[in-house]
Amino acid sequence: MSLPAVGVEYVTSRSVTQLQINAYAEASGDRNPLHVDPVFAVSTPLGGTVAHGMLVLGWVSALLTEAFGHAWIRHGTLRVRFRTPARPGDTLALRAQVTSVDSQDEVTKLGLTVTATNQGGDEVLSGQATVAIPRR
Amino acid sequence: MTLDPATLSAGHQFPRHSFSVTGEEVRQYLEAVGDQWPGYAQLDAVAPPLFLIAKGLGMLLAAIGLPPGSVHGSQECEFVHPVRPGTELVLEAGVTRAATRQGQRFVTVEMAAREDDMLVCRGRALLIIPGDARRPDRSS
Repeated sequence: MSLPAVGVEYVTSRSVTQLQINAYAEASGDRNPLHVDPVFAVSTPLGGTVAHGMLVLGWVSALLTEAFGHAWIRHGTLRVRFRTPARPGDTLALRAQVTSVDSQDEVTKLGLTVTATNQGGDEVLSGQATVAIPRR
Repeated sequence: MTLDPATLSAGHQFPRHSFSVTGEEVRQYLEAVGDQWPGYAQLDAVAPPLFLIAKGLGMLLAAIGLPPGSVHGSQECEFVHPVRPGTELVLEAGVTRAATRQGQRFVTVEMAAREDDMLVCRGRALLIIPGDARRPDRSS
């Protein structure tokens, strides 16, 4: 694969739906009522259901898998903070931007910033990722 | 039976947990996340790496029994070795930090999944738990 330069950005978007949150709850085993019970969630300080942070992070990981394939699966790291809940009805912009390219003997290590931002401009998550791409 | 999150402190070790990665679970996860990377559909496909972290975290959250109002504050992941469906893994996890600040309990949980003795992935999660939380009256 050709190596990206500093500044290259990978972008996608996802719509948050209750159906998708419910499906993720079943797939992950995290059935916290804050995610899946609208009647319960409306009585909490959040005022309604929210997506699992790990679902949003799963979208980020999927973006990086699409960008880097097996290199991401074999040699990826993520470090993020969950900042604002993602709610049903939100549309999130997911971005990963290359911030460093470090060529070493056997691999090229990329550093990236990753963000998920809702339609109002609020950061749902932000952090860093690295991926080591074998040199051929 | 779940743990009382108010009593979690640094040094607590969760029981080692063996589990297998099934093709059905992987398919369900990919569908839930909407991940359509073609590589996952190949015959010798590997599991999506974040699936392993999500599954491990799900098992830990079920063991802790977090009360409503708990927040997943941050997450770190490192993917070391790919795993194929059918693989048997062992999850090891423990609390590495726990502190009370401004009425909330901040608990850092670290976990590692291994295939035999080989590290597959590891993760670190910060959980923020309401300080007045007692045992939850709803599953969490």
